[in-house]
Amino acid sequence: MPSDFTKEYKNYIESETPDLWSRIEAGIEAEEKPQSEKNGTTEVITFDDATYVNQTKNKKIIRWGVFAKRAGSLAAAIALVFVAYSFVKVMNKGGMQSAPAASESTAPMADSASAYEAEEAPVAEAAADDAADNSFDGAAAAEAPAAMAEDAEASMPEEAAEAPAEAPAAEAEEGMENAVNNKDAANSASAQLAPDYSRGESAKAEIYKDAVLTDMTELAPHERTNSPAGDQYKFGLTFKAGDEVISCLISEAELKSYAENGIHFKKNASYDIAVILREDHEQTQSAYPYVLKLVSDAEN
Amino acid sequence: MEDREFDLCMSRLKEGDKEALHEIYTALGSYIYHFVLGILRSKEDAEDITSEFFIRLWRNADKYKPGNGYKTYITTIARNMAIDHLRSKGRESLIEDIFPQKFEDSDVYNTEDMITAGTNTGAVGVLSGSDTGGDDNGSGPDVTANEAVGKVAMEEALSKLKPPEPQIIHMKFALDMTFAEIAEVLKIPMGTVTWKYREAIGKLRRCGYAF
Repeated sequence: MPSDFTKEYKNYIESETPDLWSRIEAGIEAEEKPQSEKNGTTEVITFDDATYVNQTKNKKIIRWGVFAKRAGSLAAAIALVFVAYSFVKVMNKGGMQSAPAASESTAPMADSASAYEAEEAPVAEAAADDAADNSFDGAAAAEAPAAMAEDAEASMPEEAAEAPAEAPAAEAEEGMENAVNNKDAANSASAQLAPDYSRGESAKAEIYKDAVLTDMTELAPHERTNSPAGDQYKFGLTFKAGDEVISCLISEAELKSYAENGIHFKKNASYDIAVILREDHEQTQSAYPYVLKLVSDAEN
Repeated sequence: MEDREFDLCMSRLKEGDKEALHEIYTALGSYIYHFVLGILRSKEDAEDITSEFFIRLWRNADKYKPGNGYKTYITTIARNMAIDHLRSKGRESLIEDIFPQKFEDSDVYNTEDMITAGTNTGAVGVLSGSDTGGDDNGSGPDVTANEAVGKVAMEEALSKLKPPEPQIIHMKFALDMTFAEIAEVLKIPMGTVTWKYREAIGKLRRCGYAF
């Protein structure tokens, strides 16, 4: 009878771990000894008739720098939210004419939110990298959000940069709430085609985030080979159908063939993923001209 | 250990409560030890780094910012400490061996075969098999022998995994991290994480484990 891996693995690592607590405790005590000498001490001076207590005090240091950085980060975050809300409103007005009516108001919002997330992710990742590299360095970690805020502010268009900070917090919150609600609506409209897609910030991957198949759906280049004909790519296609994760590595030629022949990937799900050529690939001359589209069973 | 529990322990740590550190150590000590052991491949070094990790956690408790999830935080720090230790010992070449970025030829699968294989093996779950219900592994003098056999079987199964599969399996099953968190720690695409995870699961299934 097969063994339950999760339970066996946890038992295994528990049984194979030495007891290091006494060593850790000794290390902490060794650190605390010299530390106590640096802190304020109570020095008792005894005279013949009187006892005086000379106590050094630790001054409370107000870290104005940290407050300033955090206030700047907060202001930049509020400004970003306001910009995202304005962008979403504009997208709503434009809309996608070919999309079914139910998804018109929701898919662009969802994808805008996705685009917003995609833009945020590399910046956050860079900030997280900086923070991680500095291990426990709190100062560096505090600088990371500030740097993130500075980067986000620099990338905003001029008119958005001028926008508040003074923007009412309530309006920003309302915009976020709308984006979340619309994303939920997109989830519920999963039977419909969503014609739009979001582009990864790094421009190296076209990622289509699908509400049904979760955000593990990814089509990304994994390998590049130089050849006289130009760079040849192999792509990793990953998506989740039900409880199972499907991953496969396919060449660019295969992708193109699937796109041209309309071959879909289907795996015990109500939906297929179709690999198609982007409509504007000739104009953009993108090296990654493929996107994934959701095709419902009803369409097949 | 839940995020909230960890945040509470860290706030107690800031007050100087050593018992809070002990709670964190009890919950996460084995995870950290085995994670750095996978990188360092030396039990002595892993013990050193694990001890140092918790001492630093104590020392820098006031720098921890709660509310952002602790799993990525502690795993990234443990990884960085282990890699720094490797570098200081002049074993940088090991890093590429541990975290290769390219697929080997044997990893390339035909698309149709992947889909067919996925269909045939079925969804995630316990492999179908007879349930005799007759085995009693929970008590009696055979417990020690069974544990020893289990340990050997586990080590043999884990030896079949290629980096970064052991790290992915460890983070997934020991700490229940998400694929996104694992990708963030290992600094590889999430597609690679899921791909390698699936491969590792397949190898472990062939060794007789159920998921």
